[in-house]
Formats: sequence, C-alpha cells, structure tokens
Amino acid sequence: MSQRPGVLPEQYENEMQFHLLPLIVRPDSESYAPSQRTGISLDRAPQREWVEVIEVPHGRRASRHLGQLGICVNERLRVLNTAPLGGPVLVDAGGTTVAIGRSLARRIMVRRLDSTHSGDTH
Amino acid sequence: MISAPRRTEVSPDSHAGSCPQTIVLIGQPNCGKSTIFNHVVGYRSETANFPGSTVEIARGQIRLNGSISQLLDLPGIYSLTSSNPAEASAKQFLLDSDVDLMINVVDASLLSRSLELTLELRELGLPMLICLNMVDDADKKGISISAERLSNRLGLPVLETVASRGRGIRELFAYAKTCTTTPSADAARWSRDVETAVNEIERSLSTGQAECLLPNRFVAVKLLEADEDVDAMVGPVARTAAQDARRKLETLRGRSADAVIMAERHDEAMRSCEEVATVGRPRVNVGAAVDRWLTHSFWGYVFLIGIFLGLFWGVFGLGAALEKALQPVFAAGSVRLSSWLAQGTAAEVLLRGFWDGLAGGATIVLPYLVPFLFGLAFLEDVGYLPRVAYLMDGLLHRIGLHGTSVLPFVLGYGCNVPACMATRILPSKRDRFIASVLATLVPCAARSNVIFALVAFYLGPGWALGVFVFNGLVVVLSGWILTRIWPEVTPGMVLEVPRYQVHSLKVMTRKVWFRLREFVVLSWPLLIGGSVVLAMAEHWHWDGSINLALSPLTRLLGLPIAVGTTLVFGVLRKELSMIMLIQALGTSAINQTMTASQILVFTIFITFYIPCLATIATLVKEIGRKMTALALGYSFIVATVVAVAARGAFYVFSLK
Repeated sequence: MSQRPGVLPEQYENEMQFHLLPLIVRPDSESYAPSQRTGISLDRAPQREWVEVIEVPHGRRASRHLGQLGICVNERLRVLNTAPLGGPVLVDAGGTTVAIGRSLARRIMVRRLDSTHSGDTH
Repeated sequence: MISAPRRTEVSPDSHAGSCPQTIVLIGQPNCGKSTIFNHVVGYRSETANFPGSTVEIARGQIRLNGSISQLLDLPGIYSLTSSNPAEASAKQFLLDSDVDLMINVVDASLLSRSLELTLELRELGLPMLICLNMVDDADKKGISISAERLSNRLGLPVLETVASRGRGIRELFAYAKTCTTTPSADAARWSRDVETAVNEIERSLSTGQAECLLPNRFVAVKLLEADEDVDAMVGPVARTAAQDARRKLETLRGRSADAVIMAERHDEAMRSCEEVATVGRPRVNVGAAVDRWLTHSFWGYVFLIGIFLGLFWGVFGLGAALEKALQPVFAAGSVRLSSWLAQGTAAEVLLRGFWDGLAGGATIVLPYLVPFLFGLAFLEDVGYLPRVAYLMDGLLHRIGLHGTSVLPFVLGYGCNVPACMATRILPSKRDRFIASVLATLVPCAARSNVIFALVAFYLGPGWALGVFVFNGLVVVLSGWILTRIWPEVTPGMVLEVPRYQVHSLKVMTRKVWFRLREFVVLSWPLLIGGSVVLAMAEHWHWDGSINLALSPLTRLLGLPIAVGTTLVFGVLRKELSMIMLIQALGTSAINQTMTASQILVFTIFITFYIPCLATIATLVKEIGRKMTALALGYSFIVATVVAVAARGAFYVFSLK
C-alpha cells in the first residue's frame, strides 16, 4: 500500500523540495546551517526508506528530548509521513513513532543507507 | 511469572510483616502506570492513550499483608532530567520524599528505550522492582523477553503484567509487599573516561560538602549532566569539581557531557536489550496500515473532520432521542405535583424548584453528557489524539502554538479543569498560559450540553454545528491575537505517537463514570439547589434587583430581562444557566418564550463568557491570579462582542 508507487527516490526528493519551498514561509537562520558532512535534513529524507542520523541539533533541550525517544546519532529511522502546511515529520525510530516539528526536523541531518542495508520489512 | 534475581541479599520471607509504606509507580509516559494504579485502587487517575495523560501525582491506599500502604502514581518521565512541569513534579517527588519501594513500569514492546530510565532509577539506590508491562504488545511485535535473564542482568526482580487486561497485577503486589531488593551499587560501569569524571566528582562529595541523602554516585552523575536541581543541593567544592570534570570530558569527547552520559546509558540499555530479548517476525501490524490513512496528508484531514462530525451527530442523535423520550415523563410528574399542592404556597414553590432541577439534570443534561463522555473516552483511549496533534501542528504553528496544545484543547471539550492541567505537558511557560486561556474558551461538556439542548434541539443540528465551528474560529483568532501580544518562538514539537489500543467496554465505562460522578454528586445537587433558590427568588421577587443590575447587558444582547439571574448562576456551573432559564421563563418549551435569535445569542454568550468556578480555581493554580483575572476579562469581552455580533448577523439575515 505504498502511497507513491514507482517514484524513484531521487525524483521524489525533487518533488518534495518543489512542494515544500512555498510552504517554508519564514526560514529561520539555524535551519539553513549547511552540514559539513554529506547528508540531507530529515524533512527532505525520502519516505519509508531507512536512514541513519548523523547530526542532531546542538540545543540541549531538543537533543535530549529526541535522544530519550531514541533519535540520536548513529541510530536508524525512517520517515513515515510529512504533514502539510509546514507540519511535523512522522518518523519510525526503533519501534516508536514520533512526530517531530518541521523546524526541528530541518536541523536533524541524516544519511541515506545503501538499499542492501536497509531493514525495511515492507 | 516472577523472576527474582540470584543476588537478592535479603530473602523476602524474613521481612514478612514489614510492608513498604510508600510505593510509587514510575516509568516512561504511556507505559500503563495509571492503568495499574486504577486497577488496584479503583478509577482515580485519569488515563488516556497519549504520553503525559497523568500530570498530577495520584494517591491511593492498598492493603498489603494486613497493613495499609500508600500507592502513588507519578506522571511519566523519560528520564530524571525533566523537560516540563509534569515531569518535574515526578522527579522532585523521587528526590525529596521517603519512598520505600519503586515499581518501575516498563513497556515491554519498547524495552531498550524504557531501560534507559531503569538504569537511571537504579542509581537512586532505592528498593525497586521491575514490572514488565504490555508483554502482549511485545508479543505482537515479535519480541520475546526472558524475564529471568533481564532480572539477572539488572539484579532486580522482574514481574510480567498485561495491565489493560488486569493480568499479573495481583502477583505484582503480592511480591511488592515483601520486596526489599536494593540495586547493587556496582551495577553500571561506563567507559573509562566517563568513570574517571564521575569518580572525581564523587571524591569531592565525600570530602564532606553534600548534605543530602541521595547516593553519591547518583549526585555525581547528575552533576556531570549539569542538572540544575541537584546542582542547587550541593556545596561550592562539589560544584567546582563538577565543572572541571565536565569541561575535561567535553574536550575529550567533543560533545556536551549530558549527551555523553545519555549515549552511555543508551548503549548499556541496548546491550541489555540484546541480551534478554529475541526479535522474531512481527505479526501483521494493523495499526501501521490504519495510520497510513489517518495521518495521510489529505485523507488524514478527511478522517479528522469525519470523526469529529460523527461524534457530533452521534451525541446529538442519541441525546435528542433520549430528551424527547424523557421529557413527557417529567412533565407528567410536574402536572401531578401541581394537582397535589395549592398554587403559591411555600411548599409548592420549594418542591417545584426541586423538581425542575431534578428534571433538568435528567432530561437535558444526562442524555447528551453520557454519549459525549463515551465518545471522548473512546478517542482518548484508542490513541487518536496524538494523531490529531500531528495533523494540526502545522496549522497551530501559524497561530504561534505547538501541536501538542491540541491535547488540552480536545480535553477541554470534556471539561476545562483537566484541560488547563494538561497544559503542564507543554515545555514553554508562555505556551502553557496561552493554551490554558484558549482551553477555557472551548465549550466543555456542560456548555456543549447547552448548545445541544437549546440550539440543536430548538433551532436544528446545523445551527449547533455552526456554533461549534464558530467557537473554533474564535479560539484560533484568540490564539493568533495572544501569540502576537506575547511573541516567542515555540520549541519544536517532539511528540511520541503511541500504538492504537482498544479497551474493553468495562474499562471505558469506569472512565466515563469517573467523570460523570462529578456531575452526579456535585453539579446535580447544585442544579437542584440553584433551581430552588431561583424559584423562591422569583416567587418573592428577590431576583428583580439582579435582573435590573444586569439589564444593560441583557438589553444589549436583546434577551429577556429575566435571563439576567441565570447568567450570574452560570458561573457556578454552566448547565445551571440552562436549567434556570427554564425556571426563569416558567416553561420548558423555551421556543415559545424566546425567539430563535435569542436562543442563539444566549447560547453563544454562555459558551464564551467567564468559565465556571472550578475552572477559575484551576486557572489560578496553573497561571496565577493576575493572569486569571486577565483571562476572565478577556473571555467576558469576547463573549459580549461575539454575542452582539451574532445578534446583528441574525437580524440582518432574517430581514433578507
């Protein structure tokens, strides 16, 4: 029951950007800090594909809360859905489903895993 | 199944007779603490399927071994470093109070994550046992956990339960009454650099600065994590030592010390989990399939609107049918009453007031209240509300609020009191203030009742739906205004979305009764009393001065002068306005004495103006007196403006 059958991840990512840009009304400076490593921000990660977290925001409170829910560096997760109107990103992290506000999701950097390593059971 | 650790120092039997006096249930949010609590002491603690449904410590008594013990249900915490007031109260309790036994409730289906808290709690050095709850859910996910191995690994007794079905709870407390197992001190050992830092701080503590009863290692670790509460407990020597150790560790690891410790705990929990659990093939996950629809970018909203419309029509359909069926019964009683007693005597006035209050409660409150509470209980227990928060976060951000604020708002439809208290799950103070003010504008069950029984019943359900939608718009607009007055960037939402759960009708009935009891034992007598007072006031014309004093307002709203008194009484309980309206107008057929416009304006005014006394008291507790006064003034102005606007709109449209 895939929502977008047949869409290659690359195309999908472009499509996401196309859709998201008009929605980002006030880009806050933090969220656009480019990552030193090759990664994409969580809000642009392809849906239903396992990714690895390579960077979480430096803010103490946010990173702690994320860590408590199992979202920390080196952990794997996958995006289940993204709410419209700049809404949160819904991720599956080690069996827990977590909704992460968009501005926070923009500051979480992830790395796409090789398809052979992805643990997608679907 | 009971798995006692091999290293139990004291055999339970030798302690028979000396029961733990204070037992606390502690665990991560939504792991079933309140379900266990309610199972043992009767429904006393609000439960719902979303993280943070318990915001206050609930207390109850249990009989163990013939002696009475206190059982406390603490708000859920992810770790001993709190991020909101609800969590802070649980942590503070653990640090300050005499706890004889901690029952650490662990969600078996999220073992690794839950163990991180367990490892932290273990450092407190208090007698402790593990309640491995929701083993059925873990089973569905294909996770099987060896309680014995877990017990050996942690050095603590482990008992399996399925709290939602009541399974294993008897055994849990039978074991608890003799449990004295204290976690051994040498339990967790981390990487060398972290241990060095911890030891350095520990040494500074043993040189005699700290005057607290907490174990040195716990204090040292918390100081390393830069925990403000523990930091305030220790002397300057320890504080300086902690700063040095923290700085050293941070240069070594290149990240903050609390992140380092969190990672250590995380690794330890992962290792424990791998050792004691085996993961097989999960069974077909119905919840995930349902979620694809309910959180879908388009269909999610269709379902959202559909579900709330369904709730609305269900409540109205059932309520109106019941009201129609019950009204003749009570009307016949009223007729019989007048045939017995002479008109105008004191006895007749008193009895009539009493009867009207009784009839009002039975015919126009309960028929709507009961289905409404069932509907709300279902939505809460099944776990739909966090999905609503997910869907609405984007929209709420537009008015400057957090998606999590949806939880208090939706709870507000049940009662504003728990709604205001639920704002404690919000991390920012300003968000809590705005959310509690907005929550008081949401029509609670009592006010919804007025909408159903007056507007829907006399004007038609479409009008009632219009009132609800209009109310929603005013709430959104108020949010927009308040966030502009007090601008602040809200911290990003991080909300756990729990699995769906289907509860038995019995559990739901207990929950509904818990909330309904409030009406039956508190509000209904108040309604009857108010009705008697008003009957007397009218008979001997005491109400004239109140009505006269309020006549500028009633005139402005275009309402009958006699309505003035009912508005005053409405502050006690919102249903009271409606019951007293019947009393004041001298008939239960309100549409004969009030025009459609008047019914609508009256309802809109009642919906928005000053919340009831219980809510005001809660507001004072949550946001302080000054802010409450502001909130009350605001609600009164909003009520007057929108009611006058409604009157104007009705006038204009009826002319066409």
